[in-house]
Amino acid sequence: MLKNPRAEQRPVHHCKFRPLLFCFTFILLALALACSRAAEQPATTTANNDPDQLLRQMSERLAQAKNLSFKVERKLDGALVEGRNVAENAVIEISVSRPGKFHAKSDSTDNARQIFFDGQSLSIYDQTMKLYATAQVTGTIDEAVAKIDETYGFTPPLAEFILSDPYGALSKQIKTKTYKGKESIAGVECHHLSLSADEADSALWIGTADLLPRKLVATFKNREGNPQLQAVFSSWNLTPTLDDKMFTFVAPKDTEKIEMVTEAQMKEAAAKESAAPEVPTRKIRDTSHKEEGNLKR
Amino acid sequence: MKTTNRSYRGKFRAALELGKTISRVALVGALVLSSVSVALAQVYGVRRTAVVRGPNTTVVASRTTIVAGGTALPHGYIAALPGGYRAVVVSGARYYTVGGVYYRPQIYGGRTVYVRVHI
Repeated sequence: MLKNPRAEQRPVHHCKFRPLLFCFTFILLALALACSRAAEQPATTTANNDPDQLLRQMSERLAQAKNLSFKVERKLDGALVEGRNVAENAVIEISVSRPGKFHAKSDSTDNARQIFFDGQSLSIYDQTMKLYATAQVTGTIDEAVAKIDETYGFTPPLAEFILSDPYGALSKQIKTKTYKGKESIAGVECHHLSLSADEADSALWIGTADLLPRKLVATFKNREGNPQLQAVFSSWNLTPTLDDKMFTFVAPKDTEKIEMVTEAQMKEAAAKESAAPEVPTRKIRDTSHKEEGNLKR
Repeated sequence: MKTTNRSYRGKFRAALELGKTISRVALVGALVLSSVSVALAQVYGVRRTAVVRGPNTTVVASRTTIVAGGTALPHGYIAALPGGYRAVVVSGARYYTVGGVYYRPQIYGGRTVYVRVHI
């Protein structure tokens, strides 16, 4: 009688692969068990020492506030101040009305500036020199910050903290997050997080009770001398009463409107400079000449 | 029988390879998608981002640099006026002069800068 060769081979094959299948199933089960245990554990630990969870909670707290206002004492090392090499200490007061309005007032030792955004336009007012510039920027705060960055090459001070998703904005830059313990900042107990990114390493302190940012120190590690930005947050109010008028700039008397230069225009000027460094950048006609006197700087 | 075992082993290896390929593609896809979504990348108001947009305004590249002190402004621009300057009005526009040099104020990078002009 002829034997079917397949009928003979199948059991042999099954016998040989059965241990492998057992191993595979066992590994899967073990992995599933480990995952379920890992998922259970953070419930007891995230609130205290999971840096990612703390960053998320801080972000949610900020994002949930329709209106918010806070104060920042910002210290910038000279190397981070554009065009200068002088350290800058400024007190910045920020008011936000989501989704599309903010106002920032910055007072430093030699200059007072304000930024207004009302969803239709962005104005920068140099209070010290009595000068202002306005640009048409529309949309939400997120859209405005992106547009300002792209077109005008800067971001409003500490913009990450007023976006609709601060966690998203911060975590895009952060490579590693470490929990460093609890510390007191200006009498407030805080979680101390260490955040590492390509350009800067930061230390961030988040209040243990209110989960709001209390201090930030960023060290720009790729720059000569490792310049630092230090920001101490205070006067948090997540339910302020804000008048809509405060977000719209109305030019005071004796102020002059000047041009807001775009990144492209500045690049063009730089290109002209490299082509002909001796040539003056601009010429204007002298039609009338009136002396105004020295203004306070 | 040996031939059949070999063919099963071959299929098993092929399946493993396929699995690896799928996970590689998924990983690369996730990385590409995450980088495409990078539209905002500032560091605390002192970092500037150059965003390259593709068709339909999708971000295809993003390069970030730190604003440099002293060297960021092109030749002819200054961040602060030298001491002893005077303000003058020419054709209704305000200029500043010091040592025979004239400057016109502009806003750049959120701050007032001064560009050298010839009157």
